[in-house]
Amino acid sequence: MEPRLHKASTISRRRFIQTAAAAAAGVTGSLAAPAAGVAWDGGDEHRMAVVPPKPIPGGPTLPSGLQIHGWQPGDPTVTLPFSHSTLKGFDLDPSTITDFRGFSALAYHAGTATGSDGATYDLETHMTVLQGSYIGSDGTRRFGTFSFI
Amino acid sequence: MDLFDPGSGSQVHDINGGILSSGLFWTLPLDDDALRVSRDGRSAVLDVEELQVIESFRLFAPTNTPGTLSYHIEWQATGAFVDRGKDATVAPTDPAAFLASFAVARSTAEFDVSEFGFSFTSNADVSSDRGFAEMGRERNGAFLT
Repeated sequence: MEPRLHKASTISRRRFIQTAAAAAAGVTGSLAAPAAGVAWDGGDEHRMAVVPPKPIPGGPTLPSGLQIHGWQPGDPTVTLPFSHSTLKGFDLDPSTITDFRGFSALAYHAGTATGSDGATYDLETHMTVLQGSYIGSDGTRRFGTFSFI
Repeated sequence: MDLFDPGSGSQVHDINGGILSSGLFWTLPLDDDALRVSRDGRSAVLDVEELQVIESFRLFAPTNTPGTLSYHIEWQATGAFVDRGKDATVAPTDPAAFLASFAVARSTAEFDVSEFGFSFTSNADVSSDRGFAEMGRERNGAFLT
Protein backbone atom coordinates (compact mmCIF):
# COMPACT_ATOMS: atom_id res chain seq x y z
CA MET A 1 0.00 0.00 0.00
CA GLU A 2 1.36 3.41 -0.99
CA PRO A 3 1.42 6.15 1.64
CA ARG A 4 -0.80 9.00 0.50
CA LEU A 5 0.08 12.62 1.04
CA HIS A 6 -1.20 14.02 4.27
CA LYS A 7 -4.51 15.77 3.70
CA ALA A 8 -3.72 18.80 5.85
CA SER A 9 -0.43 19.64 4.20
CA THR A 10 -0.67 23.43 4.09
CA ILE A 11 2.23 23.97 6.45
CA SER A 12 4.15 21.21 4.77
CA ARG A 13 3.64 22.88 1.41
CA ARG A 14 4.83 26.16 2.89
CA ARG A 15 7.93 24.47 4.24
CA PHE A 16 8.47 22.78 0.88
CA ILE A 17 8.37 26.07 -1.01
CA GLN A 18 10.49 27.82 1.58
CA THR A 19 13.11 25.22 0.85
CA ALA A 20 12.71 25.78 -2.87
CA ALA A 21 12.98 29.52 -2.36
CA ALA A 22 16.09 29.11 -0.28
CA ALA A 23 17.66 26.89 -2.90
CA ALA A 24 16.72 29.33 -5.65
CA ALA A 25 18.21 32.20 -3.69
CA GLY A 26 21.40 30.28 -3.03
CA VAL A 27 20.83 30.10 0.70
CA THR A 28 23.08 27.60 2.40
CA GLY A 29 22.64 25.70 5.61
CA SER A 30 19.75 23.71 6.95
CA LEU A 31 17.09 25.49 4.92
CA ALA A 32 18.71 24.44 1.67
CA ALA A 33 19.34 20.85 2.65
CA PRO A 34 17.36 18.44 0.48
CA ALA A 35 15.58 16.88 3.42
CA ALA A 36 14.56 20.15 4.98
CA GLY A 37 11.45 20.43 2.88
CA VAL A 38 10.19 17.08 3.97
CA ALA A 39 11.25 16.99 7.57
CA TRP A 40 9.03 17.50 10.55
CA ASP A 41 8.34 21.22 10.65
CA GLY A 42 7.54 21.50 14.33
CA GLY A 43 3.77 21.65 14.06
CA ASP A 44 1.95 19.05 16.10
CA GLU A 45 -0.77 18.60 13.50
CA HIS A 46 1.52 18.42 10.46
CA ARG A 47 4.10 15.82 11.34
CA MET A 48 3.54 13.97 8.05
CA ALA A 49 5.16 16.05 5.31
CA VAL A 50 5.42 15.52 1.58
CA VAL A 51 8.35 13.44 0.41
CA PRO A 52 9.45 15.14 -2.80
CA PRO A 53 9.61 13.20 -6.04
CA LYS A 54 12.83 13.13 -8.03
CA PRO A 55 13.27 15.32 -11.12
CA ILE A 56 13.37 13.77 -14.57
CA PRO A 57 17.02 13.22 -15.50
CA GLY A 58 16.78 15.06 -18.82
CA GLY A 59 16.17 18.63 -19.79
CA PRO A 60 18.00 21.49 -21.44
CA THR A 61 20.94 23.19 -19.78
CA LEU A 62 21.17 26.97 -19.82
CA PRO A 63 24.41 28.84 -20.60
CA SER A 64 24.57 29.59 -16.87
CA GLY A 65 24.89 25.86 -16.21
CA LEU A 66 21.42 25.50 -14.70
CA GLN A 67 19.70 22.38 -15.99
CA ILE A 68 15.97 22.69 -16.45
CA HIS A 69 14.56 19.29 -15.52
CA GLY A 70 11.55 19.65 -17.77
CA TRP A 71 10.55 19.87 -21.39
CA GLN A 72 8.16 22.00 -23.40
CA PRO A 73 5.93 19.46 -25.13
CA GLY A 74 3.13 20.40 -27.44
CA ASP A 75 2.05 21.01 -31.00
CA PRO A 76 5.20 22.21 -32.80
CA THR A 77 3.11 24.45 -35.03
CA VAL A 78 2.14 26.56 -31.98
CA THR A 79 4.18 29.60 -31.00
CA LEU A 80 2.99 31.13 -27.74
CA PRO A 81 1.77 34.70 -28.24
CA PHE A 82 3.73 36.62 -25.60
CA SER A 83 6.90 34.65 -24.84
CA HIS A 84 7.15 33.79 -28.55
CA SER A 85 8.30 30.32 -27.56
CA THR A 86 7.55 27.51 -30.00
CA LEU A 87 6.39 24.19 -28.55
CA LYS A 88 8.79 21.34 -29.14
CA GLY A 89 6.62 18.41 -30.26
CA PHE A 90 4.25 15.73 -29.04
CA ASP A 91 6.79 13.09 -28.02
CA LEU A 92 8.21 15.00 -25.07
CA ASP A 93 7.43 14.00 -21.51
CA PRO A 94 5.22 16.64 -19.85
CA SER A 95 6.19 15.35 -16.42
CA THR A 96 8.87 17.06 -14.37
CA ILE A 97 9.09 14.08 -12.00
CA THR A 98 10.58 10.70 -12.75
CA ASP A 99 9.51 7.24 -11.58
CA PHE A 100 5.94 8.41 -12.05
CA ARG A 101 2.79 6.66 -13.26
CA GLY A 102 -0.59 8.30 -13.33
CA PHE A 103 -2.78 11.08 -14.63
CA SER A 104 -1.12 13.98 -16.41
CA ALA A 105 -2.58 17.17 -17.86
CA LEU A 106 -0.76 20.07 -19.43
CA ALA A 107 -1.90 23.50 -20.59
CA TYR A 108 -0.36 26.60 -22.08
CA HIS A 109 -2.88 29.38 -21.50
CA ALA A 110 -2.91 32.89 -22.93
CA GLY A 111 -5.11 35.83 -22.08
CA THR A 112 -5.06 38.92 -19.92
CA ALA A 113 -4.96 39.81 -16.24
CA THR A 114 -5.78 42.93 -14.27
CA GLY A 115 -3.30 44.10 -11.68
CA SER A 116 -3.88 45.86 -8.38
CA ASP A 117 -2.31 48.89 -10.08
CA GLY A 118 -5.28 48.96 -12.47
CA ALA A 119 -3.18 47.95 -15.48
CA THR A 120 -4.04 45.18 -17.90
CA TYR A 121 -1.28 42.68 -18.57
CA ASP A 122 -0.83 39.89 -21.08
CA LEU A 123 -0.81 36.54 -19.28
CA GLU A 124 0.79 33.29 -20.43
CA THR A 125 1.13 30.01 -18.58
CA HIS A 126 2.68 26.59 -18.72
CA MET A 127 0.78 24.57 -16.11
CA THR A 128 0.83 20.84 -15.46
CA VAL A 129 -0.90 18.60 -12.94
CA LEU A 130 0.32 15.10 -12.12
CA GLN A 131 -1.45 12.62 -9.87
CA GLY A 132 -0.44 9.06 -9.25
CA SER A 133 2.26 6.74 -7.99
CA TYR A 134 5.82 7.93 -7.66
CA ILE A 135 9.02 6.76 -6.05
CA GLY A 136 10.05 9.52 -3.71
CA SER A 137 13.49 10.83 -2.93
CA ASP A 138 13.54 8.41 0.02
CA GLY A 139 13.12 5.43 -2.35
CA THR A 140 9.60 4.67 -1.16
CA ARG A 141 6.70 4.24 -3.55
CA ARG A 142 4.02 6.80 -2.75
CA PHE A 143 0.87 8.44 -4.12
CA GLY A 144 0.71 12.17 -4.63
CA THR A 145 -0.51 15.15 -6.59
CA PHE A 146 1.85 17.77 -8.00
CA SER A 147 1.61 20.87 -10.11
CA PHE A 148 4.21 22.42 -12.36
CA ILE A 149 3.92 26.18 -12.16
CA MET B 1 2.97 31.89 -15.10
CA ASP B 2 4.14 35.08 -16.71
CA LEU B 3 2.79 38.59 -17.10
CA PHE B 4 3.93 40.80 -19.93
CA ASP B 5 3.58 44.52 -20.42
CA PRO B 6 1.35 44.81 -23.50
CA GLY B 7 3.09 48.00 -24.63
CA SER B 8 6.69 46.89 -24.60
CA GLY B 9 6.13 43.14 -24.68
CA SER B 10 8.58 42.78 -21.81
CA GLN B 11 8.04 40.22 -19.10
CA VAL B 12 7.28 41.95 -15.80
CA HIS B 13 6.16 39.09 -13.52
CA ASP B 14 7.20 35.42 -13.27
CA ILE B 15 5.27 33.25 -10.83
CA ASN B 16 6.87 29.85 -10.33
CA GLY B 17 7.26 26.95 -7.95
CA GLY B 18 10.97 27.36 -7.24
CA ILE B 19 13.74 24.83 -7.69
CA LEU B 20 14.70 22.30 -5.06
CA SER B 21 18.36 21.49 -4.49
CA SER B 22 17.61 18.08 -6.06
CA GLY B 23 16.81 19.93 -9.29
CA LEU B 24 13.07 19.37 -9.01
CA PHE B 25 11.90 22.19 -11.19
CA TRP B 26 8.93 24.50 -10.51
CA THR B 27 6.95 21.57 -9.11
CA LEU B 28 4.88 21.78 -5.93
CA PRO B 29 2.74 19.30 -4.00
CA LEU B 30 -1.02 19.67 -3.86
CA ASP B 31 -3.73 18.06 -1.80
CA ASP B 32 -4.99 14.99 -3.63
CA ASP B 33 -8.56 16.26 -3.60
CA ALA B 34 -7.53 19.39 -5.53
CA LEU B 35 -7.88 17.36 -8.74
CA ARG B 36 -11.04 15.76 -10.05
CA VAL B 37 -10.91 13.60 -13.18
CA SER B 38 -13.97 12.23 -14.97
CA ARG B 39 -14.44 8.49 -15.13
CA ASP B 40 -13.63 8.41 -18.85
CA GLY B 41 -10.54 10.58 -18.34
CA ARG B 42 -11.70 13.16 -20.86
CA SER B 43 -12.29 16.04 -18.45
CA ALA B 44 -10.55 17.29 -15.34
CA VAL B 45 -10.84 20.16 -12.90
CA LEU B 46 -8.06 21.46 -10.66
CA ASP B 47 -8.79 23.80 -7.74
CA VAL B 48 -5.92 25.14 -5.66
CA GLU B 49 -6.16 27.73 -2.91
CA GLU B 50 -3.34 29.96 -1.71
CA LEU B 51 -0.38 27.90 -2.79
CA GLN B 52 2.91 29.40 -1.65
CA VAL B 53 4.88 30.42 -4.75
CA ILE B 54 7.82 32.55 -5.81
CA GLU B 55 7.73 35.74 -7.84
CA SER B 56 10.92 36.14 -9.89
CA PHE B 57 9.72 39.07 -12.05
CA ARG B 58 11.63 37.72 -15.05
CA LEU B 59 12.65 34.23 -16.12
CA PHE B 60 15.51 33.04 -13.90
CA ALA B 61 16.05 36.51 -12.46
CA PRO B 62 18.06 36.58 -9.22
CA THR B 63 15.48 38.66 -7.35
CA ASN B 64 12.69 36.67 -5.68
CA THR B 65 9.81 37.47 -3.38
CA PRO B 66 7.16 35.16 -1.92
CA GLY B 67 3.57 35.14 -3.09
CA THR B 68 0.41 33.10 -3.02
CA LEU B 69 -1.40 31.61 -6.01
CA SER B 70 -4.97 30.36 -6.24
CA TYR B 71 -6.13 28.79 -9.46
CA HIS B 72 -8.92 26.90 -11.15
CA ILE B 73 -8.14 25.01 -14.35
CA GLU B 74 -10.45 22.90 -16.46
CA TRP B 75 -9.45 20.47 -19.20
CA GLN B 76 -11.79 18.93 -21.75
CA ALA B 77 -10.40 16.47 -24.28
CA THR B 78 -11.14 17.43 -27.88
CA GLY B 79 -9.42 14.57 -29.67
CA ALA B 80 -8.87 10.85 -29.41
CA PHE B 81 -6.30 9.35 -27.08
CA VAL B 82 -3.10 8.52 -28.95
CA ASP B 83 0.12 6.84 -27.87
CA ARG B 84 3.08 9.09 -27.07
CA GLY B 85 6.68 8.47 -26.06
CA LYS B 86 9.30 5.83 -26.84
CA ASP B 87 9.68 3.88 -23.57
CA ALA B 88 12.98 2.68 -22.09
CA THR B 89 14.59 1.96 -25.47
CA VAL B 90 15.82 5.55 -25.43
CA ALA B 91 18.18 7.05 -22.86
CA PRO B 92 16.58 8.20 -19.59
CA THR B 93 17.64 11.73 -20.48
CA ASP B 94 15.80 11.60 -23.79
CA PRO B 95 12.66 13.77 -23.88
CA ALA B 96 10.76 10.76 -25.24
CA ALA B 97 11.70 8.50 -22.29
CA PHE B 98 8.08 7.97 -21.31
CA LEU B 99 4.94 6.19 -22.47
CA ALA B 100 1.58 7.88 -22.51
CA SER B 101 -1.90 7.89 -23.89
CA PHE B 102 -2.77 11.54 -24.37
CA ALA B 103 -5.63 13.42 -25.95
CA VAL B 104 -5.40 16.98 -27.18
CA ALA B 105 -7.64 19.12 -25.00
CA ARG B 106 -9.04 22.59 -24.50
CA SER B 107 -8.32 24.25 -21.18
CA THR B 108 -9.69 27.33 -19.46
CA ALA B 109 -8.30 28.83 -16.28
CA GLU B 110 -8.63 31.47 -13.57
CA PHE B 111 -5.69 32.74 -11.51
CA ASP B 112 -5.31 34.96 -8.47
CA VAL B 113 -1.86 36.00 -7.31
CA SER B 114 -0.99 38.08 -4.28
CA GLU B 115 2.43 39.26 -3.19
CA PHE B 116 3.79 42.12 -1.09
CA GLY B 117 2.79 45.31 -2.91
CA PHE B 118 1.03 43.76 -5.91
CA SER B 119 -1.73 41.36 -6.87
CA PHE B 120 -3.44 40.37 -10.07
CA THR B 121 -6.47 38.43 -11.23
CA SER B 122 -6.84 36.79 -14.60
CA ASN B 123 -9.64 37.88 -16.90
CA ALA B 124 -12.27 35.71 -18.54
CA ASP B 125 -10.31 35.39 -21.79
CA VAL B 126 -7.70 32.99 -20.43
CA SER B 127 -7.68 29.69 -22.33
CA SER B 128 -5.45 27.35 -24.30
CA ASP B 129 -6.96 28.57 -27.59
CA ARG B 130 -3.72 30.38 -28.50
CA GLY B 131 -1.61 27.73 -26.78
CA PHE B 132 -2.03 24.02 -26.34
CA ALA B 133 -3.41 21.47 -23.89
CA GLU B 134 -3.36 17.71 -23.53
CA MET B 135 -4.41 15.17 -20.93
CA GLY B 136 -4.21 11.46 -20.24
CA ARG B 137 -2.12 8.89 -18.43
CA GLU B 138 1.62 8.37 -18.56
CA ARG B 139 4.52 6.57 -16.96
CA ASN B 140 8.25 7.11 -16.90
CA GLY B 141 11.44 6.11 -15.09
CA ALA B 142 11.12 2.90 -13.10
CA PHE B 143 7.57 2.41 -14.31
CA LEU B 144 8.73 1.84 -17.88
CA THR B 145 10.14 -1.59 -17.05
